[in-house]
Amino acid sequence: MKNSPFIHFLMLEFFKERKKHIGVISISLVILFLLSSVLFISSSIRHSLNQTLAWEPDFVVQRIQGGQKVNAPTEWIDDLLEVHGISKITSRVYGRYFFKSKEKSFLIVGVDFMDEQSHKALRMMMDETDLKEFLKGNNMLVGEGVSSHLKAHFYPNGYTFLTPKGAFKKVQLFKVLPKKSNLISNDMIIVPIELAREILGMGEDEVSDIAFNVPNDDEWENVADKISAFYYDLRVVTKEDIKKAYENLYNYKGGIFLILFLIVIVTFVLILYQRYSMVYSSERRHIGLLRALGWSIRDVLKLKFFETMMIVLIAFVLGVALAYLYVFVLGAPLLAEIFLGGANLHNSVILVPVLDFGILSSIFLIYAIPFISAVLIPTWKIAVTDPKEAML
Amino acid sequence: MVKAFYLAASLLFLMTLIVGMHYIFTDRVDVTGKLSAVAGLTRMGSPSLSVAYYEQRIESRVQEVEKENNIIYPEMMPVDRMDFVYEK
Amino acid sequence: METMIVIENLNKHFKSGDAIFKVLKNINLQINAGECIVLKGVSGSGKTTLLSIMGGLDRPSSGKVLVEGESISKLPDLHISHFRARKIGMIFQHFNLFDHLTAAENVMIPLIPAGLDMNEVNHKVEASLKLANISHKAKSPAGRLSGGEKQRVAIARALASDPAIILCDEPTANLDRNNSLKFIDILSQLHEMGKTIVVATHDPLFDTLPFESRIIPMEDGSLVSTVSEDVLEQG
Repeated sequence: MKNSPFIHFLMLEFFKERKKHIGVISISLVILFLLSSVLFISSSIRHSLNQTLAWEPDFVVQRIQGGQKVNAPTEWIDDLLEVHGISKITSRVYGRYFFKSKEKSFLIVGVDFMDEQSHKALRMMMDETDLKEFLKGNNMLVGEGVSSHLKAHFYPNGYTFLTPKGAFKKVQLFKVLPKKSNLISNDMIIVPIELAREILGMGEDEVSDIAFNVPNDDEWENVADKISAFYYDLRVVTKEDIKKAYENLYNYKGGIFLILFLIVIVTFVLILYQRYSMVYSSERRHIGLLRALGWSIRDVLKLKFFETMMIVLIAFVLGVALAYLYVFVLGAPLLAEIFLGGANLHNSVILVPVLDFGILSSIFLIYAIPFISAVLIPTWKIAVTDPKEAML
Repeated sequence: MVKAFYLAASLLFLMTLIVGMHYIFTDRVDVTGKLSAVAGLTRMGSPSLSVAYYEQRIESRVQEVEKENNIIYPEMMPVDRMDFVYEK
Repeated sequence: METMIVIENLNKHFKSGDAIFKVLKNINLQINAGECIVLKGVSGSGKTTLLSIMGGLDRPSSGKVLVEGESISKLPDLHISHFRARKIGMIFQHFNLFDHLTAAENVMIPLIPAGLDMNEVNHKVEASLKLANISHKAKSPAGRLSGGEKQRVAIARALASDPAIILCDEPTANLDRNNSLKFIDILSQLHEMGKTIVVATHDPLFDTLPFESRIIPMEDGSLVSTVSEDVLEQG
């Protein structure tokens, strides 16, 4: 490589006209940086949520009345027990508690801590938890967002909930859930199931919904059909439905950014095309002169192609690398706020590094191909004219 | 001029290397482990509302509610003005 | 004497809308190897166009151009590019250097498509710069050179691939008298080396060159002198 005059000249051309190239690289860098950042955030969240899907029940049965979700009766559990192929039936008690109507809400989740699975999960989540200590009084485990919000409103050690029956329930803050689980637990309050029922005003014979698993995938459709037929107001939500919802959700904003990116790239390419075509006579003369000095059309195109590829590669590598560092090392300040939304409580999600090479390749192709075309097509048009005419 | 190329190429390579190293050595297991633990405990793996941006009713930037609905029970969910338009 | 360039019934016209402008009219010319031809004429006489066609920079509307027996008027691009790179050394009126490159880098340009090794290229560049007496400015950016120095770099570039034919288009138009005389000295050296030289100019300094040359006046796209026609007839 060192001994090739063509490579040497290519480097000369590239670095001696760096001022010209720096502008193009800068704009490309900004575009690629923003798009890559957005796609990294989106991929990371989607990846993390897909990991948690393993813990989602295969089916959730809800009661719908008048288009609204209402509490389901516990007697439905008895009907479900009679269906073959169903396992791990769990009644879920949860609901939203609005914090003094300031549009901030907590998700109260009641957990049966007597369940062995709950024990295991709790040990995975917290290294030193004295479960007995936790169950002694009215204690709660809260997400980081809840903890910060309570502290900011002068409730550092706990909170007094007002139940729908008019009773006050003072609950102590036992522990804050790990920051690494903020994606799902940020606005969550975990309490024993009986306490949750009190806070949410649910009776003993009511649950929010009922979850269960069907180990045999082939039976899913049968089971769903069978259960749907039990009651007219019964709705079955499958894990597949949830998975699709996640995909739609996190493809949505990524899709908007992609459209914006495409619009920007088209504009950029048009500007480039104009820049490299007859508008700027210096470029035209430059090519005409090379042709006059014995360069063939192929030689000229080869030079321009490699020059452009260098710009493309530099911008792409820099843009993606900077985006990676911005998202996964710095935590995407500002962009995460814009992308994730400031809804409800402030959340600082830890984004797990995920590199989707399919998406990166797509970004590269969507960027590189129009860019190279915008440069090579006008170059070819100039190169095929007689050198004397090109040099005018 | 070839020196400048080697410098630029080295810088790019270094950046790629840093990214690669970070990607390989990041402890992913711990994060996913904690997430799975919470999901396993609650049997709910849905994302928290603070990462949602589709629910207009709760979205604080969309001012659909103004003040508390019930003085006695201020914790009651505020009325969404759109409720009077759309029966959701 | 070996014939280097033969031009037969050459015509060149340009179209502008419906109008046709005849720039060259029925040119017939024969140039021998090692000869120096001066195409003399005012601006618009067609001498630059004729020079361009000889150098393969432009194509004739009709007629033939033969260089060393090979017709160049209808060659495909790759062949004519090789022809320009190997056989023609072009010196332009406005020098046409790349200002952002050094003198040596400018001289290197015609050698790149030849597929040579970098050491060979450097060797040839050095030799050309020495021949043009501009070695001391090899690393200076072309944009910072004086008119005379730029002209010498242009000469060095023209000589880099050791071409048989040197074409000069108004080479002294942007030079003072002193530099013009220096240019003529270099031309003299090239003539001694056996190069075939064609100069298109209206500078009176070329009327009395210190070496053997042939002046061919041009007027309104035609050669005023018909000496070459007689030679063709004899041939």
